[in-house]
Amino acid sequence: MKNNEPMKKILLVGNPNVGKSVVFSRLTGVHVVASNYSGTTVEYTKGIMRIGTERVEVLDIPGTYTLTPDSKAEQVAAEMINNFKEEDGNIFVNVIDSTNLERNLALTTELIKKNIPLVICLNMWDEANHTGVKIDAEKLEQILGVPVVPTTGITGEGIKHLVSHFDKAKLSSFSFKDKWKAIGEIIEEVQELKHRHHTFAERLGDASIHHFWGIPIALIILYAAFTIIRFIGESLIAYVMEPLFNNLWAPVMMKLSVLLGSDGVIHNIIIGKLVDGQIDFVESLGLLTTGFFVPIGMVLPYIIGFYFILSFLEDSGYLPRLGVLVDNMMHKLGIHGLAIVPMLLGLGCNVPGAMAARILETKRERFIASTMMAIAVPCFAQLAMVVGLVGKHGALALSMVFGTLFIVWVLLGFFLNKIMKGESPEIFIEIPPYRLPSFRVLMKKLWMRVFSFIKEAIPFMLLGVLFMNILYALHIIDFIGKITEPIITGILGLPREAVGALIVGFLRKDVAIGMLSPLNMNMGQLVIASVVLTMYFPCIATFTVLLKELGIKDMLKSSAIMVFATLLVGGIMNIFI
Amino acid sequence: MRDKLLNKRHKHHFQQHHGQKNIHDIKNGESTKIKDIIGGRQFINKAESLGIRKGVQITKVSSQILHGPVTVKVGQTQIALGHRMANKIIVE
Repeated sequence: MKNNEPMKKILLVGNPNVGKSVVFSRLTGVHVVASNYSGTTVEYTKGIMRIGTERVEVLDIPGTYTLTPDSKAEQVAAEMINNFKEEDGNIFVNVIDSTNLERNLALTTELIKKNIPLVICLNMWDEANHTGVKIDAEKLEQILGVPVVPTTGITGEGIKHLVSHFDKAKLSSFSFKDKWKAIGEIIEEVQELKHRHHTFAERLGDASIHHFWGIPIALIILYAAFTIIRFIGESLIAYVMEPLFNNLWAPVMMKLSVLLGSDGVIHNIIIGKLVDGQIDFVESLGLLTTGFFVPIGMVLPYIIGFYFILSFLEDSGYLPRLGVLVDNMMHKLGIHGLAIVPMLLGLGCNVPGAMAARILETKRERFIASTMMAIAVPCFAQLAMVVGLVGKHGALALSMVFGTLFIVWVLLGFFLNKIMKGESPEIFIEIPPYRLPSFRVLMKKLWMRVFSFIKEAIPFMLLGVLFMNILYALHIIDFIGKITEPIITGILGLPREAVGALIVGFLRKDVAIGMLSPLNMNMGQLVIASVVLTMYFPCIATFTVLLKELGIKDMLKSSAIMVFATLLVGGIMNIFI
Repeated sequence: MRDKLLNKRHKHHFQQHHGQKNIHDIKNGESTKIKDIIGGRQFINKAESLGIRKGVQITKVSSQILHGPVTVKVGQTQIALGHRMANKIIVE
């Protein structure tokens, strides 16, 4: 290939939840998160694949039903399709859910009009076979005049065949007047449906959105989910992390501590302060002690548990059903049921949560959902630390923290819905069939998410600990503490030193919670500090994404609400606790 | 402004078709044909893109209490839609 020639491009286009991201991963080896519901992909991803000796760029874009978008994610897709130029070698690969051929062909007819060479990928071929849908791919190829290749992305079947057809991409010879009439005629010719009885999965599907059984089933699922997360987290801590840190890492650190003279500025930055002559991984606050122990020893085990369960729920297809069940309640808060998706993702990490708000249709909904999440949904890293520290004071203290946050979440949505102009649109979504998640795919997704946690968390954590040590050494924290005393102590009832945690909270909220540990606060103060640290401001990573998603003006509004709500809630709690 | 106009138009349509059978008037598990879809262009487009259009067989799967969303099945697809939206899908 000549270097000055632009690379050929392949755009993967299709309806939501047809498996584009899975096909993309198969083609490029680049792993992107794929789930069993509409709107997992809210941004495009680029990847490179080799065809023979040639390098080709492949683009995975959000799914869309039409080229006239009605959510921000669909807008990304429509813009990319409309701006895709007919240059040498650029092609569309239209990924179709074979179990839903008729509906998927609507987008195909729109793509045909774009006059860009096209290949059709009949994905989910095995599922179509199992559910009694028989499609004559050859006949479809004849009618449309473009290559049609059956594939099963999840197992990789047919992918090689698909690749070998990329250079056979053609402009379609199909012409029509009435879109739906034309599609109807195609379906008549190429598709055969076998009647079959309700499968177990379908019965289960119907029960989980039943007007009576739906809610009890949801409660059982959520209870089971949190029990499993706790089990995974606690087991990993007790059997892996604690032995590792106590028996292996601690002796090494103690030797290093002696080597560094057991005290002094350098020692305090690297090892931290010794507690009773020993390293305390939570309270020492050194780079190599607390800086590693918090993310790996305390947070990671729960992150693994959480993402295992979330990924399972995503791939099974339960989330949109949960959205339908809570739709009624969520409408009172100015958002519809599907907003449960950004909230749940935000519980893992606020960054993907803020991105996922793109699946909501209006700016109003996106603002309400993002603000609610940024203020009242703690990320799991922070949550794990709260459980670790506040949990020592018993279940009551924990329920005070999370109960308060939940009440704030509800009231915030309620008031924003009352204050803001307009009305939120009703829910209108596709409910995917239940699928048993593949263990291999699940593990890969879990690894991707855990890896990205490690990659993001550790540098920020070390930076946070370093930053704080420097501020302490220069007495800057004392200084800021004195200035802010009227607020920190006066309104919130916290010791002046807590201001250090609030400063570090901009970088990492989990390490900030950890910093509360040496302050010898009573239970009430710990509860207030945990709530305040969740609410007052998002961490810098979340802030950056929110700024991009909402724009400066709305982000300023959102930030003002955060500060006001924090002082109000913290102040009220200080009076009552 | 545009929203207000649209809302007015919806109301107008709604009154015009009052008395006709819509999705709420059939039982869970019951199947029938869609006679008409009333509403703005945007709503009709979205409905069509999900497979909900005139002449198509539709089955009601479930409905949530207190004016919650309704779930229907069209072809192989299940779709959840808001209570007021369901008003606008006229069936035989």
